[in-house]
Amino acid sequence: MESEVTTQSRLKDLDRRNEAAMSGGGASRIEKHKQGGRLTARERLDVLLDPGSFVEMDRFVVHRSSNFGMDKNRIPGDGVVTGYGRVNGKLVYVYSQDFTVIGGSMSRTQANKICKVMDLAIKNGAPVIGLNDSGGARIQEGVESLAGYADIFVRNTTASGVVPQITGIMGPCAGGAVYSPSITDFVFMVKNSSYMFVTGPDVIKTVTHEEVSKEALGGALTHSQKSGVAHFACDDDKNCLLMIRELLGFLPSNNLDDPPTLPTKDRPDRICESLNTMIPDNHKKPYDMLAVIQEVVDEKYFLEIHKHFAANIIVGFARLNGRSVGIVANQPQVLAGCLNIEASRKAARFIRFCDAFNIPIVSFVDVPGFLPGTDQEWNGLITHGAKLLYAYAEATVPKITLITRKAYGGAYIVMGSKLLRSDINLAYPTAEIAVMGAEGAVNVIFKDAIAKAKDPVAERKRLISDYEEKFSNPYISAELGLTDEVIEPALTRRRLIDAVEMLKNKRDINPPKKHGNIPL
Amino acid sequence: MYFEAELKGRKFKVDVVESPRFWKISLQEEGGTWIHYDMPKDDYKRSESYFSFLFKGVSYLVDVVGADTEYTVFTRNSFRTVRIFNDEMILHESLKAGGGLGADKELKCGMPGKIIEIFVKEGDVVKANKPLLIMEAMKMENEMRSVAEVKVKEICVKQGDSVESGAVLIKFEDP
Amino acid sequence: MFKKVLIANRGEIAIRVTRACRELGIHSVVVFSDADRDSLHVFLADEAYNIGPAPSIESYLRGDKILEVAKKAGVDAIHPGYGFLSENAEFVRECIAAGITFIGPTPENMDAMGDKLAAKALMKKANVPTVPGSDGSVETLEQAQTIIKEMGLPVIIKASAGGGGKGMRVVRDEEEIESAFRACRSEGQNYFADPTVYIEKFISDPKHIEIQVFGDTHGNIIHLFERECSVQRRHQKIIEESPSPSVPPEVRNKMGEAAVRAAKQINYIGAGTIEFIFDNTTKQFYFMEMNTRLQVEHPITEAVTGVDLVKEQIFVALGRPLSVKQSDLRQKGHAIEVRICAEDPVTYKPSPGLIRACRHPQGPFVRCDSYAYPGYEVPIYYDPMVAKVITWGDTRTEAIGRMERALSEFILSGIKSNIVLHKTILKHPKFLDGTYTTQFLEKNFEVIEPEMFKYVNDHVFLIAAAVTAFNDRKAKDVRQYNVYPNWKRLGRKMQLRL
Repeated sequence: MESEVTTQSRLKDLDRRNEAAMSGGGASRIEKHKQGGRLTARERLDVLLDPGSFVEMDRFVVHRSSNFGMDKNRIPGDGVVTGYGRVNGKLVYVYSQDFTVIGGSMSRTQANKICKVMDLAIKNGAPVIGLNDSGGARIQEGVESLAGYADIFVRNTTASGVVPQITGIMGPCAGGAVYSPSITDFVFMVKNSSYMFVTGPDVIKTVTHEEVSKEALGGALTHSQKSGVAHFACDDDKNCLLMIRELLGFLPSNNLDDPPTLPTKDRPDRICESLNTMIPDNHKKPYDMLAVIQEVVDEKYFLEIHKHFAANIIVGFARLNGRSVGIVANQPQVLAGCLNIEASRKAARFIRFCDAFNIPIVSFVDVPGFLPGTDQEWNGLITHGAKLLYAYAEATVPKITLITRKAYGGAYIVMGSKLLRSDINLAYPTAEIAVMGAEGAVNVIFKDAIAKAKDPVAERKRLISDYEEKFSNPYISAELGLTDEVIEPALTRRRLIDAVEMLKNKRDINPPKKHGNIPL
Repeated sequence: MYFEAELKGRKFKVDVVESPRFWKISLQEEGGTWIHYDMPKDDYKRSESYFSFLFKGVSYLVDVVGADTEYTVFTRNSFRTVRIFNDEMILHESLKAGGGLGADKELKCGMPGKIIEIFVKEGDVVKANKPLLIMEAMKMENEMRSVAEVKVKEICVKQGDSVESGAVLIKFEDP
Repeated sequence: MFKKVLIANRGEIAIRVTRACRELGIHSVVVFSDADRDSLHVFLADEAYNIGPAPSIESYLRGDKILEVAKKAGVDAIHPGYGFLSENAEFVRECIAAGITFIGPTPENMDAMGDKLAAKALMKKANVPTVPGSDGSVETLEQAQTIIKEMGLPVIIKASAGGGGKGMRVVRDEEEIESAFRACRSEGQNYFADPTVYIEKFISDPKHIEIQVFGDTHGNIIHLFERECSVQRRHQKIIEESPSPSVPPEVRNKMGEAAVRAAKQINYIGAGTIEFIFDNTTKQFYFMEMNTRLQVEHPITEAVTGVDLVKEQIFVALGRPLSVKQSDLRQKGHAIEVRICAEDPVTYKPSPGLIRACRHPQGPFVRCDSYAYPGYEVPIYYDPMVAKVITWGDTRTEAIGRMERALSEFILSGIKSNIVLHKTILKHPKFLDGTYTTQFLEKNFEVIEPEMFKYVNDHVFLIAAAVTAFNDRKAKDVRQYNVYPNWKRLGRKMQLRL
């Protein structure tokens, strides 16, 4: 009897094809992949997205290359799982590379799949989440795979500032592939299983004769602490994906929407008693700014970004009365809270991200100045400091600044001062808003008087305390209208929420231009 | 939605699925089998301060108090405190002040300096936000405080030591 | 009749006295501390005055503040309730000096019975059996050891000024004598400022039986039969019943007559209670102490004799003779009371907090004296008892059955309560056959504890918590918020050809 092709058999065939596609590179490769504690591409999407919400696209796409006998190795999906789903009900577009299929290497067709998803994201105004786990370009395809990469980079760039883009580096990411994640808004890396670098340790050894391991060169800890390329270093795949979900909870779907509001039981008029005693009497003694932030925000919940990089400045997201806000704060415990190159870069990018996506910026200021040193100066502290100032000045989202203690000189201006179009400026009674610290100022102004005095040391001391009394306080700037209100620290939460609520419909524009020229 | 729960020291796995007319709840006690309950939403009524549902034909007026990962459930003058959590909730809690379940296990210093004074000794249980040691660095006296309630496991430095940035000063364990 | 009476107390007893006043047409005045502003007794009275910060020592124990309010409000009399100032002779003297009637015994009555050793001596004079022991205080350890050798172990060493379970130690072994003696002396000094101790024989099968007495200003003294209060946790009564299932009728008569003799010995005025230790094996009874005030468990006597004891207190204070004669009194049926406390039933740790749902039991022959209501925040400063449930039945079995029914109807959520403990005790064979002693709860707790958790299937709690957690997580779902997103709106605009 001839085998007939019936509708039933066609359905069975579909099942078979689906099954084949789902199995990726085969059971043994999957086994090996999982031995490292890593999840498969599809498992990652199961964790990331709301249960049952994932819809896969282009499951049967195969590559078209026939160089080097590749035509015999056509695996459906071609090393990436793409599609859309929901995170806490919010539509997101995802792609997740599959390391078990030809090493997850990028081919022309794989890039096509990813670009399709990104195009849909731009048309529909929804975030893109990419989970990278790839050996790099597919050498066998040659320049075609490079073209594929370029297509992705173009879309990353055009989508930048339109929809939030998040990348999770779940495995290797080397050579040209690293540019896509670095253009995206947030980069997550997984400790001990992911690494990123432009040229690997082998090439480095032959060229510069440096010996360095993959992990040390471009592992999660390296990039989150030394270079600042990674915003998060997570313990494992699952932790990384859950953190991405937490982060998405703060972001709007696109640049036209407000960030989502999460109702909270934390009362907006809660008095923060502990803040009244948080700032030490001795202004040389540091305190933990993180504790101040956590005391003020809803449910003491603060999602810190770039935690281990430039620890002298804190950035992250939190909620005030349910609304998500971006927080920038100097950390007096590290480098006395001074601004340096790394801190400026870290904060500037964060502020521009918040500005692009309608997230209000709340700044907690305790900065004695910029970090002195030839190291800083020769590496362009000027330019990088200017970056931060530019970012603050350009932002048109609601900007609220609270000066807790020191705010001297240029650093005071840079950290969201009133003249940079900040909307509400508050200060604690312990604030010292001055052109510089008392010691430095006295040395300049009274140089002659001290030299001529009978007891220069005592005279200097007297002048310093005199200066401190007159100028190291917030009242002069309050008299000038540069500080809107001097508040009791216990009322911080109330005032910040009052300000955020008042500014929720803020409208401000910059003159039309193609784009500015931020000192990069 | 999948949870893990703890009730009177016993561990359970719980799975809750909402469909338009039913709550499908499955429970598995550690070492036991899965037990499924299909509860029609009609049998599950909410009002402002309590809700009632029919369980095995018996009606229970239940009041649940609590939030995040711990709920106290009252019904028929009996009450239990149930800890219910899944990975996402645990992560969410850990981002709140106090670290949720798993505060930092090590105190590291952020910059090079010198240890001036140490306030605790090994074995001490310290409440949150209490000073642990003072370190002089950058012409500032840095008082380092505890993030959450912790027990001092090991003090890795002594008074007068010079320390590098990133050095571990004190190791903690759960109190 | 008094025109205005001030009730110097709080909680359910303040409500109880207010009710009696209302029924007699007396204007009721209450006092409240800062923590009790929302307490039910404040709403139910005719006038209420704030007497200061929450801790009792700054409010309800401040006789001066209370008298100030009394004078300001122009009251004729003060009812002290129980606890607080109810047995404070000095306060009574101050009331008298201020020209305000004190609804209760005379200061001399209180002085006579306040010192346990002196009270014991008085009882001997009145031919009331007392627990064999040291006749007077024991000063030295050697004295103690001699007396104990004579009496024989076990004994109990008690601080003379002590009470409420403090300053007493049971000694069963010779080695324990020294440490127990020293401990009682120091507790007596630390808690009651008096290190005097005495020693009594420790009864091994003890029940706590007390007789309600009443005296008026015309020399009449009666007793209103007994109450058994042997179910105790840490020397605090939690279940009381009347009549006692273990007291034979002749013994009951003897106890009543002894109690009346005791009261007559000191010319007692008002409501009082003589507490006896009852040896269930020998059916012998021994005087323990006298409480010169109204007791918490008075409702069961009211249920069984039909006499309104608070009204009677008011009549006596007015100088009237008692409204009943001894020969008129009968015990009819059986009554039980349970004390519902806001505490963990296993650890007894107080559990103050917000009461979310509260519905008192009702129905035939059920009485509930409580100040709990939905939305009431139980304060941490005071006694954790929030309600008393009293049931009456023709027989003991019927009363117990009614109590079980009443407890199953009681809805109380938001705070922990010991209702499940009561439910379990009421089923226990030793309670049911009436042979329980004052050590009943302690000895049988291991058996009782697991039973308390069997009333509701664990799965009910898990399901409730799981569904609530699920719903709480759902709040993060953004689909409930976006109606017509800006993206779409602007896109539509951009599509139009202008």
